[in-house]
Amino acid sequence: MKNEELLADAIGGLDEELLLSVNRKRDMEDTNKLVVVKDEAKTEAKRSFRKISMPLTACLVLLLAFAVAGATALVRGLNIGQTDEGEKTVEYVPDSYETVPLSELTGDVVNTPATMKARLIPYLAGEAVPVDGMEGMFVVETDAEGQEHTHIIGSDDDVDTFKVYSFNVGLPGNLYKAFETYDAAEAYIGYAGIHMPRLSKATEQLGVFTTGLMDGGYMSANADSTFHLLTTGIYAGYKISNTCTAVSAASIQFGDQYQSGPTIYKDSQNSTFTQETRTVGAREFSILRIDGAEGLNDVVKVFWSENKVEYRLEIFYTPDDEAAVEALITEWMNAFPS
Amino acid sequence: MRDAELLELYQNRDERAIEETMRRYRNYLMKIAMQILGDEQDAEECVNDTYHAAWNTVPEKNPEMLSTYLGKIVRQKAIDRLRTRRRMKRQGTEYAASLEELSEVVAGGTMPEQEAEAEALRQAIVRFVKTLPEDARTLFVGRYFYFDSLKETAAYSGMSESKAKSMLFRLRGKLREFLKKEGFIV
Repeated sequence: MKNEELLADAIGGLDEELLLSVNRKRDMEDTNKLVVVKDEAKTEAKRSFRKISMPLTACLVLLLAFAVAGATALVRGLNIGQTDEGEKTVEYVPDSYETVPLSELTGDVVNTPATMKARLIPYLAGEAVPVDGMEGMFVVETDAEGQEHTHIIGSDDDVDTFKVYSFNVGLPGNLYKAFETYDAAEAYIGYAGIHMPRLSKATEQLGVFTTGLMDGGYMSANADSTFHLLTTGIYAGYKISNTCTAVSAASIQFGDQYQSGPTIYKDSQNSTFTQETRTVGAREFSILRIDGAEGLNDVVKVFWSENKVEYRLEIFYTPDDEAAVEALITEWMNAFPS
Repeated sequence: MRDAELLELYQNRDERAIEETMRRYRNYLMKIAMQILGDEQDAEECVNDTYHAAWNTVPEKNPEMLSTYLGKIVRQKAIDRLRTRRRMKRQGTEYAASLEELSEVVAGGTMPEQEAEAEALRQAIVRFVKTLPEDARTLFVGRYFYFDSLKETAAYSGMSESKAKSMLFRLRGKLREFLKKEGFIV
């Protein structure tokens, strides 16, 4: 073997900690972006599901999944492009990773690491948490301390359809707590900078989803393991019509944790993607439209970030709902405090 | 799905681990393999081999970071594939360009091939990289571990190509001196 090959082999043995920081930079350069790629294998499954219309719970699943996978990176710019192979891509390029110090929180969410820890013991023992009821793709559970937990379930078809977006809220580090009002949800977080847009439409679902990281990871979990907060956010679901559902979210992240791996949004290769910006007062919102092929729902996503909070509105609809969709977007953008 | 959950699938011998790994890391692994092999089909095969290697080794190795663990596997598999086939197709790849640059470091020297000496060399390289400031470390690892192009490496290191090239040149000289001092190059 040549000397330079031996040297290359030796370099190949670098410690993972030495590679990690470089990995982060490489990810930020070319993979820590939302990429829309065609996925022929799943198109039919998605098509048959979407023809029925997107269930609200499924929309929430998508939004939650994105929030977790993307580590709620603050998004200000949308870039639509295409790969050398002609695949369309959409990249969400964050300006920065802004985080909220835990010291700025006054709500009970700061106590969730203890709840996560409490759930860890039965989790390690493999004990099932009692199921209180089912709501669409969710199973709502309440633990001994009265804390509600929501697990995503579904039929085999549902699971297959959403496999690419799936995430396990059954892990101790993921907590969902339902609320009746925006005020209560905001108070639970207790961050002065967060203001969930109040829409005139009543919420079908409203809750706070919080994620925590366990020191050492689940592989080495034991009774002494501890959690620290990673993200939290308010998620509200709305049913606009039988064929139109929407989810509004406001999320923040803590610390400088980074979750590796790209966030990939898969959609039909026949879809088209357009972007625009719309200014309301001093705010310039980014809007991404994904127009599905025949038989598919269309999707519009609106983004704004402020006070280290990422706001997002996602609407799944059919062409018949366009007027209602535009009205909802306008109402949402005007729902921020002046 | 986060790495912790993915690792748990491996630990539980749940075959969804491979599917999820493909979904999350295929592009990342393909890029590394392509930089070395320059051939999509070969790279694809290496990446597939990597999934299987991960399936067989993750429960035992219990890696902290799945991305870097997979990256190391695919890097070595791609290099092995290139050597095994003894092809000359590597010309024109970033691996070939990186090797040519590394040949400056070891020109005229005798590098250790025995396992124990190779491990000592690996440890020396780790020590060397740890002494580097962050920007230099990023350049070095990007160019000589991942075999990223000079242009890409410069971009995510936040510097111009010419500056990156100049810094890499100095780094190679520094590495040569370091390896001499450590007794690897006589």
